[in-house]
Amino acid sequence: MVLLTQQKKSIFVAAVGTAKRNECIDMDRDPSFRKATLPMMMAWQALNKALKSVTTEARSDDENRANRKDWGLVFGTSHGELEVTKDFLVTLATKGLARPILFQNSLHHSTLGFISLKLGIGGPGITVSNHFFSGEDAISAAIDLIEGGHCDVAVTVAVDTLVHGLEAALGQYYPGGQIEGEGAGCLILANAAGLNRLGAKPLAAFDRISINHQAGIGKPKDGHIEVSSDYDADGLEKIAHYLQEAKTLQTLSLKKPDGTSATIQWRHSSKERESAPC
Amino acid sequence: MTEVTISGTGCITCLGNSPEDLLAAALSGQHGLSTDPHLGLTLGYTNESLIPSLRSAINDHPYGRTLFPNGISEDIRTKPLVYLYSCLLAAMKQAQWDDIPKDTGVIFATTTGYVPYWEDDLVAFQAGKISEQDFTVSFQDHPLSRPLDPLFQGGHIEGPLRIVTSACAAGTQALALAHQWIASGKVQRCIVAGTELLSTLTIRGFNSLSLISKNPCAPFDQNRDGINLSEAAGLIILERADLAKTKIASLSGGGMSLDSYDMTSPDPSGHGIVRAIEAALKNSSIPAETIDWIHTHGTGSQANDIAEAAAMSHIFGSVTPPVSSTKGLHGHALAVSGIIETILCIEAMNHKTIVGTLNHQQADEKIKACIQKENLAFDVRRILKTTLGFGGVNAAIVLTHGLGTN
Repeated sequence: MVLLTQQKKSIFVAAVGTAKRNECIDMDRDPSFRKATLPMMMAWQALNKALKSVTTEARSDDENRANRKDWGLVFGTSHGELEVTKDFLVTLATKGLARPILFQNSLHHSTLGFISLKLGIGGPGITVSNHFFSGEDAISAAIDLIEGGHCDVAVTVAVDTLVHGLEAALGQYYPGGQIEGEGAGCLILANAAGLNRLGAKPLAAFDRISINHQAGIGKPKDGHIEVSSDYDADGLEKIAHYLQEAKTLQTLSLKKPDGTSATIQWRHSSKERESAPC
Repeated sequence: MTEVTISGTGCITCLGNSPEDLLAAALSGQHGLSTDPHLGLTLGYTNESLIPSLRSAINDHPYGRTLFPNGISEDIRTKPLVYLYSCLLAAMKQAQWDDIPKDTGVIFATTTGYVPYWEDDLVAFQAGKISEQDFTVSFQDHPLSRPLDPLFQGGHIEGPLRIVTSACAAGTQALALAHQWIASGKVQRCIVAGTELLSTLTIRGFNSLSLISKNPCAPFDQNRDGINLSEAAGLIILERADLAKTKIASLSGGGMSLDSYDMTSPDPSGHGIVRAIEAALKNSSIPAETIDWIHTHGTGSQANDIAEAAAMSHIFGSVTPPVSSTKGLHGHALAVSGIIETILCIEAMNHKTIVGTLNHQQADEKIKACIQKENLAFDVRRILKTTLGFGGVNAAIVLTHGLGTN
């Protein structure tokens, strides 16, 4: 068992959001998304939903850019910008053209850069890519940033997308016949000071995140749900979903395609709301 | 505050296969770059002819046999494994580790992973020249965590694993995070490592942005005309000070920031870098005026050097400590640059030397920082190391002298 994170002080979930590909149709009509990739758009949709649920400086409008200057930002992805990487390499091979925009968007880290530009986030920024645990590790990294005093608020986003023509290659890590999915999730995490700044009541507080590299996750108990992963970085989206939908849930076990698992524990929102600083 | 000791290092660069090779090249001013005759670009390749002997050394080593019971195969695709685990065994020897304590954490930095070994097949598959099955095999090492599988899937380590891929700042970020993990008690020991190999994607990509020079780079120089990409692997063992058997330096702290300015160019004002440096100095509890040497990212690109020098002037005023870049020696190894440059800083500090800026002749008139041109004999006690990356990401760490044994 690998313990990724166990909090000494409360780290609160201030807001959550999730998104799917179909929510990004026509986004590129907005000039500010014309050069954006699908992971960037999906990340933005999930993030925007989360931001809309909190008040004041968290909103994604330009007036609040200065307030976000010291926020942290963590992005998690397993495949990164594989679609754009493919486009760059194929365009180079077939037309002899090395297109700068495709290269600059080909990095796993590109989505983080895009979000920081859109929101004006100037605190610490980290992109993580830990295969099946990319979503969980993004949360753990965000908690590290807050606990380490690097920021009071950390926007945490995880995205993975399918790539047309590469389904079999990407799906090779999944059990026979299962097609890998895609999606995006966002959590806005904060310490007590960060919650005050956001003017938000917390949904929950994280207790611990652990990864079990051995197969099997034990017998489910009350308040303990186990679900199977359907794409690499889905841990964050799953957590966001259950935080929204299953208010009494305290422990979530995510069974990974290779038989390993991640376990995430949090405390119920009502207790946190009573003790929250705002 | 918990003191974080650096107890072992290992690296493979275009200058050789050890930290000692790196220092020797720095002292002699001998770079490891070469001009690709087909592309007309100057790059830094590692010496692949040494891979068989490195592989044999791993396969013959007691801990190497533990990690690779069947040995590492002779397939060229095992090059990242050979490099990474060569560095690991060298660092373990220096740190006096016979094996890796199970609760050790690992933070791995890379941007490209195994890209060189699947990018051609991806194009061939798209063109219908190879089968889906063949491409799927070629693509199996796509996850960036793949080189760590022998440690984690083999159950040899049960501490936390993080794969940082924050562009070129990843290695320095990894060190800053490792400091935090140990200082906070999350782990007692942490391995920071990275590998980066040259590929069509990176070479043609950076060249599409007109960033790669035909010549060895000249950081901060008025005539600088670009960067030199290179490949490398590096590994640093960090431990809580009271647990370390060997001490070659201390990592005092780190800081990070985002420019929020542009996807590829740094903010020319240097304000983003300033925030990372200020955070690192605060985290280290070290005053700026006690810094002896600033080892910069200093890629030799127009934008990077202006931004970084502006940040140094902002922090340190009109008379900065000696500012240098060693990219002219070993090139720019992307995510691993922060790791191998930290290793060079430690080697130089313990050799009482500030390494100068190879190929630097005359500073750009917009640059006011004090660029150190030649190597300088100096009893260095504290070093500020900075790194920048695409996406406007910045990282800084502070290294402190501390050679000795417990």
